[in-house]
Amino acid sequence: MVTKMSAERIGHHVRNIEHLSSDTDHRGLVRFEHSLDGRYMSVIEKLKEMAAEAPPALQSRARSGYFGGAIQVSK
Amino acid sequence: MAYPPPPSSTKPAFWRIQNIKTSEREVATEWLQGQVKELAISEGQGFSLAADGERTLCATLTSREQPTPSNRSWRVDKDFIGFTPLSDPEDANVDIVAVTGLGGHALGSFRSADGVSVWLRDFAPKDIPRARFVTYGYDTAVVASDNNQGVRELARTLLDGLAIFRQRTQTQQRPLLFVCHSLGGVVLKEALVMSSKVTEVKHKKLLEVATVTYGLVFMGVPNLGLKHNQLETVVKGRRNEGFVRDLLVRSDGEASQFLTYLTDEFSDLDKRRSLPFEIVSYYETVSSPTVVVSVSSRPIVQVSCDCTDYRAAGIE
Repeated sequence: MVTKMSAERIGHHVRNIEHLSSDTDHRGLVRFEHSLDGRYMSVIEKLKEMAAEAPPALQSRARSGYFGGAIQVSK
Repeated sequence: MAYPPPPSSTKPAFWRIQNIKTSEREVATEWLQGQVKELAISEGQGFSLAADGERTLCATLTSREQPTPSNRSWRVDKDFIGFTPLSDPEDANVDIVAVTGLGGHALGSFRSADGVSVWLRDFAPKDIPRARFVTYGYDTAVVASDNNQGVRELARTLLDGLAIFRQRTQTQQRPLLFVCHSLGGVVLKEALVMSSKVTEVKHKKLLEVATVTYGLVFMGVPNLGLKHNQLETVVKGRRNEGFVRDLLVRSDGEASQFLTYLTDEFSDLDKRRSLPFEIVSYYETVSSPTVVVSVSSRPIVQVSCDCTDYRAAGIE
């Protein structure tokens, strides 16, 4: 079993990561029966939000330039 | 690779058909529909057909028997090594890439209890219609046989493969989200760190992966490592020094040198970014063995472990 503590230690300092429990075992975390499964609905809502935010967020960052990598990506 | 024909009442399995020409889309769709008509599908189609190159399509199929397409140039396999697209909307504006755990299967690890449906293919694309869903499979045979393969080598293979897949489908600039299960999350973190450190312009396509990554959904990722008997299982009972070196929790309960390095590097990358990653992390509440090994055509093998030693490190 991967504990809450190990699952949460993604980066060193705690940033604004959202931690959620899922009422299942380790391999059940990524298995869903149908689209009305409560655990599925939680995950898909998170993905839906990210999928809506990502294109405009990356676009406005592209206008501002540097993203934090070792070299700049030309546009 | 040839597989013996399964007995008639076998459980459903997942198959991939590659090298379908774009011009064969209609023929292939009809053929796939015919293949799944015996299945009791509760949701979705039980198959997918999506571009994996400029002039080629890739299909996935749930079937009790090995499909034998009459078109000899179509290639059938059930290992799913590399990147497999599961949906392909014309107006796609984001890629959602699933990374299974080490020893997991690119489709099988995400299946429903009846073994027919896979949410990434059969119902998630309906809920996020403008996302292309893609799943990634590891070559567990290589992992097991090469003693020097560690997390870095797996991360490098993932990064190279994703950059090439997106180049072939002309989608390098498209925003990326990842869904990672178990050790897949550790491999992905290292891949993103590697990507962000690319300094040579000729490898720009590797850098683009980190650049356009926006969000991560982590499902039970063992950020602190694994204990010994779990690692043995990852490599099918054979001791693999690379994994032991990278992932073993130390006897004093601290993370390995590699995992400590990775945690630091990933935090630094996140801080450097003008747009920090969006991260959601799920953890399980029901106790079970951590590592599940699926060896290509054979059934999933689960291991048990004793759960006393490593509680301090957050590993049970």
